[in-house]
Amino acid sequence: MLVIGGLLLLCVIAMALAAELITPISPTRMSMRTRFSPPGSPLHPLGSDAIGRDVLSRLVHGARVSLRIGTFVVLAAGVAGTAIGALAGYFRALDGPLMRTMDALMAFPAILLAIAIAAALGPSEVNVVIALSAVYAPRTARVVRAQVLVLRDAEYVQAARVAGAGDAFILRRHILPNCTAPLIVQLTFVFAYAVLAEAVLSFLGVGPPPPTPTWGNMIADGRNFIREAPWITMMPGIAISITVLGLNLLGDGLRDVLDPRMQVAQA
Amino acid sequence: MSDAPLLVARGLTRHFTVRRHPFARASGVVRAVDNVDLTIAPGETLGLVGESGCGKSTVARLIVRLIAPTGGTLLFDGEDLLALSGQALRRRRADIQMVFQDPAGALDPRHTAEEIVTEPLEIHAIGTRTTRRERAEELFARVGLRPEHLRRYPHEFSGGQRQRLGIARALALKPRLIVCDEAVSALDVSVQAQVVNLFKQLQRELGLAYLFIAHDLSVVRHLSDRVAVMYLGEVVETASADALFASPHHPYTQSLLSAVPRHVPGGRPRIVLAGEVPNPLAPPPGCRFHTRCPLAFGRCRVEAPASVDLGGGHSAACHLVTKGAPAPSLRRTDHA
Repeated sequence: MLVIGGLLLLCVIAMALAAELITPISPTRMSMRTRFSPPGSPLHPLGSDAIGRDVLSRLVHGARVSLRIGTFVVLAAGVAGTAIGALAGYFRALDGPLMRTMDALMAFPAILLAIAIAAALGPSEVNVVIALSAVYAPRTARVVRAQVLVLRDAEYVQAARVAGAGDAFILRRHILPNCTAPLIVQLTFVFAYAVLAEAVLSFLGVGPPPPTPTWGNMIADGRNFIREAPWITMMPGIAISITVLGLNLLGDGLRDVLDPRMQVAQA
Repeated sequence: MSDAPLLVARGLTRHFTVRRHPFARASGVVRAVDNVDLTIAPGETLGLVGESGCGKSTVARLIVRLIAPTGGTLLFDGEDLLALSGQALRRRRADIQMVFQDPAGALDPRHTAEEIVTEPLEIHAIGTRTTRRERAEELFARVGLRPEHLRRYPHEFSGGQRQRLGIARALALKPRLIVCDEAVSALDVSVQAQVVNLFKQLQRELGLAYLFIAHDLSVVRHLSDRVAVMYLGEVVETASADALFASPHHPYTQSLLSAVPRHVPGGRPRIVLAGEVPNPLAPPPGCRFHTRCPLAFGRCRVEAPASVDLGGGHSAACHLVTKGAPAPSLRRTDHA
């Protein structure tokens, strides 16, 4: 599971990094003479869309956007979620106020909240990152808080306190490092959701604005021609599926590998 | 051993308030530790015994200041520990260290043995990386670990080695008192003996004082100079180890000691107590032990017994105990 997921994800990353090598055609270059070329055409291996743009080129350049947004969402949601979760779990007085706020954010369906925030901020890549980070930070905070609640009573934390360690030292040296396993698993899933949600936001027109090649934009562009030229929507759809599947497999695999009970079995 | 005491606890009390939900009024108070008096001299071992849930571990956590008492005083070397805070408290913490029950749980799985042992030095900003490593090697030698173990992680050690590692960490700051909370209970019997002997050896070499908490009476007897017996948050009897095991006075101590397995066939019969330890949320009035005491009579149900000084540092809190008289016998049941 870990290996398959990792390989799928590596393929997507390689595709995004090597976009120019895979196809020299610009993702925004139009060509009215070769509109609706089916996959397998000499010029367009994966076909072309309604205004003659190359589907392969848009696909590999779209992968860059998806992975970039996913990465920044993971970073932002990871940092914010870890900070909030650690504070809430460690300092009991902050637990109520912080986690009730997180619960309020989580009460909205994830995608609805993302749409609302992205629509309010306006369509741009940065705003998509902000919207998705706001959606996934509370979910990360909850995971981190649960872990911190367990760790703060660990005997090695008490031992550090008996030796005279302060809260900052204990958080930095003992609690946060021992949160990394569940955090990595959670952030893998956040990455998957972010890729999916970015496509949804783009499709609905609140993502990066149209000429930008994103998978969501491609599906939105192709949806009127789904009967005549299904490849325009199918190709980005497959790309999204593979990426999300790869990330989910990776997350599940990591969860099994990093499970503390598994570590005991290995030790 | 009897100059100025190292640690004096007077009326040490810790109550936990129980609430059904955060906004509820307190629905009860658990008197985990109630009015406990303890004295430990420099270089002395005080054993603390009692059933599970009697408050032994809470006493340990109070003395190392992991939790704050709700009442009483705690003097270390004549200085009021409870008045300390901030830097002064941090400095004083070096004098009182702790060894924990679960050798695996007390070591951070992500830190190497060297990081674990030198952490207290790092916290107190003592020495450089090099001198800390030297100190770690020295501590390792002292507790019987090999220097090449420094780079290992806790899961690569056996249970006994982990506990040695925990002891090395406790020694890092050159403490004068080590609180051992069930420090050998989680170990195999053979390993237990080795660790107990290590404790004795360290005491000889470093002049350490121990508060040794255990439920295994034979270990306590082997290690302790004096022993205090706790029941339901209170100390019911204190005596030198020899006096306590030879002539226990409090009925609870007598029944507790009768539970120690003996090698003599047909030795003294066990005294089996009826019932269970009462709910600490609602401790019985009068003497807390009266609900299970075979000798309880009317006065025990209404009046808490004061501690009776039996001379020679022996004292017991029971209405039936008087100085100079033999201990109340649980063999006779005409009192009940």
